[in-house]
Amino acid sequence: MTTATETRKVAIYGKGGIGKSTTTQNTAAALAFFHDKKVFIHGCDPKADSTRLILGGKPQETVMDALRDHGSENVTLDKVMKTGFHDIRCVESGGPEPGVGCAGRGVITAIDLMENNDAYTEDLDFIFFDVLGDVVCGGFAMPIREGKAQEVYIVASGEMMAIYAANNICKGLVKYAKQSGVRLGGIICNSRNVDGEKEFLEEFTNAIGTQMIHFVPRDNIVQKAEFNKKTVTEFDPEQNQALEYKELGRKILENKMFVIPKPMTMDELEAMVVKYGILD
Amino acid sequence: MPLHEFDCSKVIPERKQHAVVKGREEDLTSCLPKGYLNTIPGSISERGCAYCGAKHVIGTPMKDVIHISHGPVGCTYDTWQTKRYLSDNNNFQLKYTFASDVKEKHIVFGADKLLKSNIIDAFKAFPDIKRMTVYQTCATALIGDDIEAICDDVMEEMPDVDIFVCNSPGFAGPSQSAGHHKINIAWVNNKVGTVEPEITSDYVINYVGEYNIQGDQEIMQDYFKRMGIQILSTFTGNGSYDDLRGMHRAHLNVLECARSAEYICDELRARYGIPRMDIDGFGFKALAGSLKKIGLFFGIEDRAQAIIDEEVARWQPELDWYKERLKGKKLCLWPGGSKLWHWAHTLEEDLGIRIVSVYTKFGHQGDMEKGISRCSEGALAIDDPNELETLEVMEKLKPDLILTGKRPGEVAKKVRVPYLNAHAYHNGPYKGFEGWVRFARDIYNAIYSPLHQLAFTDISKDDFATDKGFMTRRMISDVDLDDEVKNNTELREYTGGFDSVSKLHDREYPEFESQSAPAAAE
Repeated sequence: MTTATETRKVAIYGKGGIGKSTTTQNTAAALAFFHDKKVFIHGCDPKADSTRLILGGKPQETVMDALRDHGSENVTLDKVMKTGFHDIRCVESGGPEPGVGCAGRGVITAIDLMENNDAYTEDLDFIFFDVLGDVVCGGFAMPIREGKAQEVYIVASGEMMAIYAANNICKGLVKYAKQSGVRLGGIICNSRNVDGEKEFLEEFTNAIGTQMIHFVPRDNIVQKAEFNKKTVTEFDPEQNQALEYKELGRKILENKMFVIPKPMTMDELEAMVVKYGILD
Repeated sequence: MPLHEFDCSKVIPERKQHAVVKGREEDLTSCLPKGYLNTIPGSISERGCAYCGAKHVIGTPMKDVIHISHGPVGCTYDTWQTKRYLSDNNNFQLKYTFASDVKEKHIVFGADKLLKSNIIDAFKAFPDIKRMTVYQTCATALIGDDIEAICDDVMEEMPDVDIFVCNSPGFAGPSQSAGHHKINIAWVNNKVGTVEPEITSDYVINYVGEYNIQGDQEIMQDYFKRMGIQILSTFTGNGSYDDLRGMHRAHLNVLECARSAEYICDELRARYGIPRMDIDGFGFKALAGSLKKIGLFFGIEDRAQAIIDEEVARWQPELDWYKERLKGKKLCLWPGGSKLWHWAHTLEEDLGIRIVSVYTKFGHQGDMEKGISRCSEGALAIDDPNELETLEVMEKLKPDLILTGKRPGEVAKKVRVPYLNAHAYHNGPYKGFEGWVRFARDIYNAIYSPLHQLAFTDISKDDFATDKGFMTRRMISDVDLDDEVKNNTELREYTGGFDSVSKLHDREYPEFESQSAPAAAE
């Protein structure tokens, strides 16, 4: 467990569409609101949709937009950093439109620029890097390289492809674990209400040597809050789902299980998938 | 196996396979080093990259073309102007170089729009130039910019321009040689056959693998014209973009540098049935043999012989003047690729110089085969050498001269071994009969320069005479020469001018009657 004065740098990975950004923002909001923590969210997805619920839908100029329009020496924090719900600071890397350029290079450049601008101040309790679906190239591995993030949480569900992606992300993590010290803090289950979901994920997390840190049940209030451009905590902190994120936040705060995962082979993974009958 | 292990490379045991000594009565099965493999880690290679091989060696000699590199500005600068391939288009392609100057933001967002606007700007800045080659670099290859699509777009908007795309990023192979291959194939795939040339002779050739270093191409072109041969195109020295689009109509590909351009010859043979003939443009005997070979192919050997007789009569006494003074000198022949075999035997035959070492930076096994078979016993043959190895060779073999590129050449100077630039020449052209005399003159000037004696004096430490020391080359070279040679009135130093090329521009060429009247309609 880190001391109160140290900033915990957290990277959130997971299959595309699994709810990384929703989970990150709701967890961040809960940490700020219920646990009184100072939080920074750095969105590393070229789509730049990692901070919308914190900023109430306010458009945010991305670091890459600023780089393109003003040049690297003119990228300043006041241009690209916005403060939202409960003083959560937000930055979006941004990136090219689909099919051109190099989004991975964009992630590297954006993090470098933020470090050069001292964006990650010492008073922060948490920095969350919300990263695009999979570790497809060196650029998207940037948050877990060189100690930029020390702990990783993978968002998954009981669906086959989400597990495959989680296993792949673990392979990327293993590559950098030794050199950068990054560790897996656990898998967050963002439930899709599929049969045997909890059991499947628990067996998977056991197999790779980690934990399912929290099972976040499916609740339409999340979508409702999103339509209102808010996290659940901001929308209605009394809601049960807000308390689920509060609980996830507490578990992250108190988490002591940081491991180098042991990713499964494809054969092992296939066998587990068949066992839970999800291929039916 | 006569493998040679360098003291300095003992820590890299694999290097041992890359150097051999040609022993007595040994053939190629026992004295061929490994070649054209990836550079061994730890060995600081003198090789270039595949982008450089495509652009700097093969692409840019084309004279009526805007050569633009799509990448950071350094790629373009570092492949600019260090090789003197002149052109009769006022050296346009040598004077100007272009780059899209890709920056970080273009890498992230894609550099396609940038390239398009740069292409259009370049054409507008030089309205007389209607042809362009775009060279991909590492950065733009990685981000996957669709250069072909961009160029198609521009060609649609500007119907009078034509653009060739060369996708040969720096990492595309073990050395520059991979780039030679890529641009050869790209040209034959995309541009050959898109223009129909006018045929004006019964004898039509492409002159391939010739880069017009200091005017080489114009020298050889002069011989071909005197034989009544039409040169459809030159690949690529002093070559015109549109001429090269009509390569498919030649009767024969006359190939000079097989290392850099055999690929296109082989493709032209496979696709259009044009035979390939390898020649040597360097050296009296080798060149004479080559001209006769071409004459024989077309049945005009007499025309070749007439040229040889005339040229030899004019230049042999001057060549021999140098031969008398260069006989027995030891030389390291360390070019990039093809001069390994173009020069090994000719220097020995024509000038009596002994080749004590040959190396190639990027040559393939075939180049080593040719080079080793053409040099004499005892020669040390090295593949992909590193700087320390070459220093070791210079220390052990004590050569009188190194023929190499400018980077290793500067290293040689530091250990007081004279060097001549084998890539860009010193006072070329070196092709042709007169050119070979110029080469002999440069070798003579290099070896006997009084500078080297002076350079051995450390004026901060050594005692030295202040009242004497003035020397000329003749004083040094003629010390041990027989009076008979010294006083020979037949022999003479080079009498050609400073410029051996311009005088060819005014030459009138003979008209030969056509043997088959409707040949042009082929």
